Amino acid sequence: MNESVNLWSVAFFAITAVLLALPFYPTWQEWRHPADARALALTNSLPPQAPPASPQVRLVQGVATPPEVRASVRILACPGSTFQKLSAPTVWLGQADTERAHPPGHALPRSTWRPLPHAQPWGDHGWRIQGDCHIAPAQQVQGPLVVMGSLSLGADCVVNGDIKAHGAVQVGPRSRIGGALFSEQAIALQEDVQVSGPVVCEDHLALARGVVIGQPEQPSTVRAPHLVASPGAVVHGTVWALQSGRVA
Amino acid sequence: MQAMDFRSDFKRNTGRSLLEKSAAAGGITLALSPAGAWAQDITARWQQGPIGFLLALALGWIALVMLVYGIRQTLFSIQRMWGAQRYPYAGIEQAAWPEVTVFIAAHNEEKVIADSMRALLQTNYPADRLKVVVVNDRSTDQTADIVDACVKAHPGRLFAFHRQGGKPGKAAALQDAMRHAVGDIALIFDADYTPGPGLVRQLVMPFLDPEVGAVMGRVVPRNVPANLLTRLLDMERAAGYQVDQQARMNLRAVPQYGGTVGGVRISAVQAVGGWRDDVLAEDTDITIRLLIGGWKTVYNNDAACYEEVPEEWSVRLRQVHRWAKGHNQVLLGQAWRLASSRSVSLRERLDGLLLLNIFLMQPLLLLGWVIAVALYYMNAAEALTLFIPAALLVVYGALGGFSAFLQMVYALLIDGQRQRIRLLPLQLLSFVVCMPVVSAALWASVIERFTKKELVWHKTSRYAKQVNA
Repeated sequence: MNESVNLWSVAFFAITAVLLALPFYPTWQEWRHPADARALALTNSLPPQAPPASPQVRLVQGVATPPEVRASVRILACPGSTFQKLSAPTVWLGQADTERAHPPGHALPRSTWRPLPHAQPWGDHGWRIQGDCHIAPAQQVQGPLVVMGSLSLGADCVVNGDIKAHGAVQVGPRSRIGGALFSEQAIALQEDVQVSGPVVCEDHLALARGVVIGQPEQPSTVRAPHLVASPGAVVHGTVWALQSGRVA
Repeated sequence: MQAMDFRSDFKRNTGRSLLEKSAAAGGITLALSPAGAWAQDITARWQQGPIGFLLALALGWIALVMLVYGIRQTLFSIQRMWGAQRYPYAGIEQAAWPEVTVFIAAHNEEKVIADSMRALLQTNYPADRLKVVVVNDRSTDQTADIVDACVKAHPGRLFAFHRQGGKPGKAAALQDAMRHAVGDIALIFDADYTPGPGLVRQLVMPFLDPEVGAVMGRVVPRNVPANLLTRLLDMERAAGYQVDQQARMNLRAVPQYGGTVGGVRISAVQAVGGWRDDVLAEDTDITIRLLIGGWKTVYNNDAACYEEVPEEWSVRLRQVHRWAKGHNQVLLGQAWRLASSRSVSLRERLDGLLLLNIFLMQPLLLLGWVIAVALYYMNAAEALTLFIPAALLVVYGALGGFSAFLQMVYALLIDGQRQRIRLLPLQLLSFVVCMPVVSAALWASVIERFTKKELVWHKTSRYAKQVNA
């Protein structure tokens, strides 16, 4: 009886030891004879891209567009065309409306915006606002502006500096932003809005007629998962619609 | 005698409370709610053996904390593997690039400093908006000569800041060097890092967002093939960056600024009190202070840079000791401020606090093992079941024990290095070796907190062969 119990005990311990040791066999093999011991290859040391082949490119409705289109002078994406990434000194979305590419100067009298009582100073003369923020038309705002909720900027406003909003952003007609515009949700730029820096959002981006992003002498970047442009918007630099880009 | 009774009672236990059983024995009918019965059980256990009761309570709490961390790590792994990836700043190819100062922190770095300077001179960032400052912090080897030769060879592009005295440590050296900065953005590299040409631009991109106070890139070991330790550290780094940091970025939690291969907005650092030269982990300290001040830290997984990892266990353990001590120092100094901050979202607050407590986990686990053994010898198993339900143990066994290793596996799969997963069982060895060191660091940080002892800096050894300028 005792011998039988001892045998079972020995067998139990042997099986347990084997089960515990088994995973260490490939470990031992990999340790002593490494099959995978190289440093990870880094991708940020890739050479710069070659210059674009064509000076001008025209995208039309119903014709498949390559994932990336580049031109050394300009790209015209006609109404109904779809795209992902366009890069050129001037990217016309819808139509080459040269008259509206340089909208008239903002000569309206503006009052200096007084921030809400709960706004706290932020960065270099800027403001951080808890919750939503609505700025009335024809206000002059000193940025940077960080809004924890959504932001609605009235018509004919001027913001000197960068803007970041955690919620959606709506910029009224003819307003001008002298910096970058970031939103963690959607952005809608109404007619003739000008943004000098990058425009980046994490949801839908809508560009109305006459919107100008970047400048010929200082190109910029527009980036959004979904982008819809009305005919007559123009971007100097790069437009990147990660999932879908379309000219209405 | 009492212990014997306890054991026999344990054997007879069928899930009913002691009070119910005694009531049944006395023929009394009681109608207690489950909570009431549990409370009665607790009272009875306390009366039977208060020490065992308290130890069981402590072990139950430790198991719960471990479970929280296990679930956190597992969630990060699952999110990184199958969830939506977030990095909104990728692809900002054209912009009005701001003026940037790159600081290379160097203390006796004659073996590696020339490589680092050469790499930064090849960056594709606009040269007229970039200033590279080598911070030679009291070096006693050939570092100063190598730096001066390189500065002479590239006039107007490289600048040397030779620091002869002052407080020791990287934070103090950077604090002094900041007066040589141009622009509002400072990128910081250690001398053993060799950034690729696009790295500066990648690290600057997020600073166009006015809410961003710090940016962190990915660190990749260069000397992986050197020995077993470097290979294990490579797995650990992969998990930390590829999974943990990126998951926190995806979840809008708290990615951590790591002190190198990253940068800060100088005005943001000044707004939260500037660099502190009395902390060992100035990177964790500034991450948390920026967070409390409302600034975001961004992690860019594509902005990767090579580094050297320790090739000797003694060096590795000293590094872990320093990290743990520095981290705990920030925990003791900032945890309450973070918990009570109004500028921080609940999610960030929770993740920030869990991040601050991360180096307490190994001492806690060690303590848990000690308590478990003590309870076994005290025959207090039944008291234990009051605080550790079987369900908790099962979930902890499934998630808590393996979550850190799960992160490594997923990181290696994402990086396409599946063969090296076979080394995973040896990570247990590394874990066990680090456990007493991290525990000792906790003890040291508590003692130093009360004795106000001056911090001692240890430089991490370099293994690269020397390269001349």
